[in-house]
Amino acid sequence: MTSTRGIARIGLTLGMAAFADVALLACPICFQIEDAHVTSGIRAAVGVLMGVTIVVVAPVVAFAIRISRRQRNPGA
Amino acid sequence: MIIPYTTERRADTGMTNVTLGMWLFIASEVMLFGALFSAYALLRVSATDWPPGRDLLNLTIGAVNTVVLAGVTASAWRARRSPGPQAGRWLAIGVLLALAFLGLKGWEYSSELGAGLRPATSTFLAMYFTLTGLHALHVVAGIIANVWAIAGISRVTDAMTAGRTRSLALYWVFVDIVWLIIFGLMYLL
Repeated sequence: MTSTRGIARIGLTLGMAAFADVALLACPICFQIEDAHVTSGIRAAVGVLMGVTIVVVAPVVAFAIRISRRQRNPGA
Repeated sequence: MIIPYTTERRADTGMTNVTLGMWLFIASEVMLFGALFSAYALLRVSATDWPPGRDLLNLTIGAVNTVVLAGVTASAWRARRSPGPQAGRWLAIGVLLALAFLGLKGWEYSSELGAGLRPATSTFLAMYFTLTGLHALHVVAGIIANVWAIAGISRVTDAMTAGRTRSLALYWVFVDIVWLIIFGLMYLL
């Protein structure tokens, strides 16, 4: 079973190498290539999304604290 | 049926439900544009080659549109501080300026498409048309909201008009800030 799977894998690799007309590139994130452009791009994208999320969530939290304080001290 | 706290401030939140609703709406819109800005960061940093926006786009039209949109925000802000009929006049000025913004944007689009600059041409242009197109839809929504508020001035109380213009002022400030970010990212950087 294992040898059959190994032969199939080698066959598939050879077939792709023979018939694929475009370059096959490994995903830099999956293969942990630190200096790839895509790795830097995803880091930047996550940073932007985190920043935006904090900008939205922080006022919501502040507002929730404000409401709870007002409920305790209605005159405040 | 009268919806409570449409014109009066709630004691717990310190604002009317209209204003609170607008803030929540803006928060959701910030997340929408935030996702697109995140996509921009991914595509730009990942790209091996990214053209300077000023070489492809019309910087003059972009700058004029920035001033025009600032005028829309200013008129919405004046409407916020004006009584009923006067607020309607300021909102109408805002509608005219917003239409001018869309007219200039449409002219810019047509000249770009005429020069073969299409969304499928490059990642930069795909991002440009997505961001500016979505922003233009928000300007259209703002125009519709302004017209709705103007039409309602004679039918609703001054307090309700004040609540609507207050919300519209917030909305236009948001649309203006998004445009400033888009202008900086696509035209200047």
